[in-house]
Formats: sequence, structure tokens, C-alpha cells
Amino acid sequence: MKKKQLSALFLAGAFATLGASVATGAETGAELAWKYHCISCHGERGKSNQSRYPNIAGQNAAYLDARLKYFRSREEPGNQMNAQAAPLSNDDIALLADHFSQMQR
Amino acid sequence: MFRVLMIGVVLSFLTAHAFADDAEQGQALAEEKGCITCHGTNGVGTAPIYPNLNGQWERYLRLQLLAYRSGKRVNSIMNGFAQTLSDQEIRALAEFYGDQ
Repeated sequence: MKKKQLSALFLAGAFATLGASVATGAETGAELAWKYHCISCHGERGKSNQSRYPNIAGQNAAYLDARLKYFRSREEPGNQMNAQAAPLSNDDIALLADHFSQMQR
Repeated sequence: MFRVLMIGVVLSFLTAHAFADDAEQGQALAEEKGCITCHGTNGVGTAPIYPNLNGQWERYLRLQLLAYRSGKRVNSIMNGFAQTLSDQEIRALAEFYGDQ
């Protein structure tokens, strides 16, 4: 194969890989917790500085999952968490719930 | 003057007893009201869907119980339980399960 063709093939492969990782959106729970500002109120280690924001470190994942869906569904109008949960997909919610549930209570 | 002092002493003993009793009363209430069935005696949930309460802000717990009682926070199980609680019982339970 000529050098030019090889470079082109390499570049194509690189972009394809990049595209694939963006397409699958394979972010970790930790990345999501930062991206969606969870840690700004609940703390990087799931423990907050103010009683209005519950500690969520070591909370049961199933409970956190259900709770985030409750907020996303706006079942309780006016709750501050509704807007936070609005952009989350089911996968995001599962990853976030798992992430915080693993932290030390 | 002495009478005033004695009344003060007696009153302070009575109220001190009430304050010290909150956490004790909380434990008794947790058993009586059935909280321990789902939240345990130590605040650890007995099934994955029941939240752990241990180490949670006391004030946060109190506000959630009030929200459950008023129906602001919607949960078919907890709305019922919370409606059986007075303000003072809510304080006692929050103090028993919560921190700070």
C-alpha cells in the first residue's frame, strides 16, 4: 500500500473510533456526576455541606434510581431536583445511582 | 426570690428531661410506628428500594417527614405512615435516625 493510502486509512480508522465512542456516549457515573452538576450540591463524595441537600453516599442504588425518575417525571411540582433530572436518560440515571451507591456512607 | 429560684429549678429539670428524651422517644416510636420494618433499627434499609437513613441530615429527614405528611412528597407507603405522626414525633424520629 502506498504511504498516502496508509495515512488515509489510519485517519479514517481514527475518526471512526472517535465517532463510535461519541455515539455510544460511554461516560462513567463519575463523569456524569460532574457533567450534570450533582456534585456541586451533593458533594464529590456524596456528602453535602447543607442539610437542604441530602447525603447520597452509600444510598441504595434502586432508591436513587427511582428517586431520579420521580424528579424527572415532575411528580412533585416545584422541586429543585426536577430541572436537574430533566436531561437524564435511563442509562444516565442507572450509572449515577450506581456511582453514588458505591461511595462510603 | 427563693420561690422564683425553686420554680426555675423545677422547670429546668422538667424541660431537660423532655429534651434528653427525644432520641429515646425516637427509638420507641420507630418500633411502635413500624419504621424499623423498612429502615431498620440502625437506619439501614431492609430492601434496596428502602432508603438508608443512617448518617442523613436530621433536618432533611424532618422536612421529608413533613412533606410526606402534607402530601407534597408523593409516596403511597410513606404518605400513610407520616399522617400518623405529630410534629413532636417527627422531631423525635428525625433525631433518632439522623445525624447533626
